Amino acid sequence: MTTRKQTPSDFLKQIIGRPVVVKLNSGIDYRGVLACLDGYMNIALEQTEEYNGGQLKNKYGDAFIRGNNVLYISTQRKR
Amino acid sequence: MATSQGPTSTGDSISLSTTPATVSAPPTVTPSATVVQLLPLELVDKCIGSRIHVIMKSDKEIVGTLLGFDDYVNMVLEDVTEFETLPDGGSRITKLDQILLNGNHVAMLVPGGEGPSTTGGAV
Repeated sequence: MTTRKQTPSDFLKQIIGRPVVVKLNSGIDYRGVLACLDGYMNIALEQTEEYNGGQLKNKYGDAFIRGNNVLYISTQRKR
Repeated sequence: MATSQGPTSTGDSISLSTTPATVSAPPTVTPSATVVQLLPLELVDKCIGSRIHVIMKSDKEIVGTLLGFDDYVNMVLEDVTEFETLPDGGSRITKLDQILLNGNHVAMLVPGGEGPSTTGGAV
């Protein structure tokens, strides 16, 4: 049972520092480097770009996303 | 309930069977005939390593290989394809590598599913 529970939290530890795509419930995409996150899926990103269909905004520096809005966090290593 | 044999007068008298309607205990289940239960999370556990089709509460479906999950059914998926049912039509966004899907928005899991059909799914 414990090995199964580790998978999401293991995943969270592995992806820190990687470029990720964070999609929110609203459908807006955020692409940036994952600075840190917690068990509530609260996320801190760096060098974030916001996509809503096309590219809308560029953010430099830190972006904080509240976890209740997050639909998924995806790595984009192979791109 | 007392059995009434019905009045002997003519008419629509329904005569019941003569056996007394005693309340007997329900048939007991023998211990050897136990029902094998499959818990929902056990079914999800069986899917680990195979394709799974996740249907969200919104008009979105996600197909991927299940790597793992937790008690909240947050899921780690791989080789993920995202299907969105738009008013105009469906769109597909294919993401590579791994995703952590928030279990909050999951409505249904279909083991081995391939995602929505291109024709819209109407039978």
